Amino acid sequence: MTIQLYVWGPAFGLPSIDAECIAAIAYLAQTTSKADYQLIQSSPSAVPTHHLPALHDPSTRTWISGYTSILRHIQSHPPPSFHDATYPAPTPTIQADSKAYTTFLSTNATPLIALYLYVSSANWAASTRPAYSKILPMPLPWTEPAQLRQTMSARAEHLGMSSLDTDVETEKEEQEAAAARRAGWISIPASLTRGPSTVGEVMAPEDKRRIRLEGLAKDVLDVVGEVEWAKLTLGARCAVLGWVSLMIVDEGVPRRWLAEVTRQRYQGLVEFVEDFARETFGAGPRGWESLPWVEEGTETHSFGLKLHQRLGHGVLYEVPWIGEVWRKWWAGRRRREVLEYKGGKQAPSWDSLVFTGLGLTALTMGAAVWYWRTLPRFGAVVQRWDQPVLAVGGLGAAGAFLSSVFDEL
Amino acid sequence: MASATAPPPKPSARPTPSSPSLWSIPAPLQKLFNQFPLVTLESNPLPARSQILTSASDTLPTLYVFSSDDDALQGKPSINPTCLKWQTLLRLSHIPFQTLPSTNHASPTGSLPFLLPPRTPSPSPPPLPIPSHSIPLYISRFTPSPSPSPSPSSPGPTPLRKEAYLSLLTPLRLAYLTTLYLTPPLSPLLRKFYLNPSTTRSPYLATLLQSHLSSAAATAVLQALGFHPQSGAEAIDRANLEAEAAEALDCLAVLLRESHTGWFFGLERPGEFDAALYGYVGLIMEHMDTPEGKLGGLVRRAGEGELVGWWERIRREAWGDLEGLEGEK
Repeated sequence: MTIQLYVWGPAFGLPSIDAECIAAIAYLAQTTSKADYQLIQSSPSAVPTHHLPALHDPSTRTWISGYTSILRHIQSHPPPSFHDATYPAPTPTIQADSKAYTTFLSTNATPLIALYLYVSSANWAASTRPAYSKILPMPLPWTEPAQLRQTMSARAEHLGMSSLDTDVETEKEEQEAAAARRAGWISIPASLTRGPSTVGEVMAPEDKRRIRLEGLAKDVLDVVGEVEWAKLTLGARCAVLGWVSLMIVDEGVPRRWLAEVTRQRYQGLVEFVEDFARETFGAGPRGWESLPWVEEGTETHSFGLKLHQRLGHGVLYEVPWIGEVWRKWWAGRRRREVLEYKGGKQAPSWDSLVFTGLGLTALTMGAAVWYWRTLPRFGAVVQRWDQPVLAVGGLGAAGAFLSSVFDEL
Repeated sequence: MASATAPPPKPSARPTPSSPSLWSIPAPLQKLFNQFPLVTLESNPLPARSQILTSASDTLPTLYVFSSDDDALQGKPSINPTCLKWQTLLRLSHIPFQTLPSTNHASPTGSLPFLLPPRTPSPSPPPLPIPSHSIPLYISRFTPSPSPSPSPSSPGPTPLRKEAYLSLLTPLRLAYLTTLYLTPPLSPLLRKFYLNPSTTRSPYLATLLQSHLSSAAATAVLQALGFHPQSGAEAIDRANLEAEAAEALDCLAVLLRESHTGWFFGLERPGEFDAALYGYVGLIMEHMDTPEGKLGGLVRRAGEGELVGWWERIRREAWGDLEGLEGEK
């Protein structure tokens, strides 16, 4: 049985838009023959782990996500053609160093990439969002990239660089201007005001904060640049390929601070990564296209979701409050499915009970509202006496006689 | 005409003109108000905690940590990994200090711990609180003996390698967070740590606060794993987190084996890295070495048992005198 690796699709001339996915693809490409694995371009909404890269191993009935976890799984349950000369590592020190640097990349380099490609409004609008639009099948670019940007921004929050996100600033300014107008302040039309007058106003936020951004990059790259990667395990080399190749992305990126810093100051590292990419994916700019890519939706397992389901969940997540609850419930349910698939006995699910309860409540509420609306208004007349219409029929026996006479006429 | 001369002398009575102006108080009212205050009560004594604070903080710096009142008074280890790290480092450098329980709201940086230097005589401005990341600087300024944290012997590639190994604390932290905050059998421990010292005894309030704590922890873990922060605690793959933590502990054991002094990176005395790891390992071995905790077992199994030996050494070094603590204070 072939293992299936679900990854984000290619972008920026790289096999994937995500660092962990590049690393996982590179590791499989280096160690396993093409007959033993499949690469599937996907998005987190389709896989039950809700995170990419995700590995599906039908032989052990496993779903697992994250680069280091995938590495561990492949090494402990190797495909038939698996061959990694550095596993097990020659010495414990090499093993420990490799693990430490891999963890360092994933904890410290990810926030940098998040700042570079996701938080920065200019780069997001000009390169990252279009790249996602190309990767995702059609209605999904409406829902998923925005959520992804939220996730990535949260990972870079502790660096305190949210001002690169000028969308938020502009929105705030507009709100302030609107509030000032409402409060009756005289506002000068934009055409009559002077343009930006100081250097600070002309500069892009990336340029203004260039020194701090370079400092942040230096903190990470000083550590990564010192390492002799060729001596570490293959897993660590694939990791540095994944993270650094995203750091040096500069085609079509308007504010290239990270790529510039990396290329100027850490040439050795960049050379190593470029060489290693050639060695892994073959020569030529898009060598990774020859890897065993498979169309999504042709798998045999039952975990795949239809496009409209993925869109539905995406839209629902955006609803305030309900979206949060829904996301939690759905993520938990998918996780239980994975554990059941693996063969773990799960505690009985309360879902049906909760849904029955919710349905009953809604039904009761609906019935109550309907009944309430059929009640007469408070103070409305409940009984009414009308004065009988004076007609010929109201005159007793004579009337009956007369009316029959009129009828016959 | 002067207003009725009141028994309590007035510091600056308005020079009243001879004719009553618009602003002067009518005499009957003035008499009435001169009756007040009827009784001047004795001022209340300051709360017991602040008495300790005022008496000792003239001479000792104060470290504000997560702890309970009693534990802090006795200088016992904090129950928060970051606080425990800095507390251990201060104790290792033999700087006398006292601890006080506090919360994040009280901290100028928004997170504990922080250190308040001893109070100086009144004319000079009161000392500024020192955030946790500046504590090593404080220690190096006040250590009489050669300081333990900067290592003069190894200025080579060690600092950068140390950075990389410091990141191995992240998987450990994620496993710790999941174990403490998101494992129902350990919720009594969570209550003991964070809720009982700070909240009232109201069970409803405690339940509410506990659910807030748990969801904040779940958000932190999910965020670090690259999930959407609102995916909920159930989306976390616990077995995987444990495996990651076990690998990280193994790597740390290997690093320890390399060093011949028994402390990380070949230092003569335990340094900041040791303290940072002790922040987690100390708490794990103290409170989570149970079947539900599991993390204790991971520490014991790491490498060839180096970490357990190290834990016992550093505990003896930093906290060994805890029984005779009153004498030291």
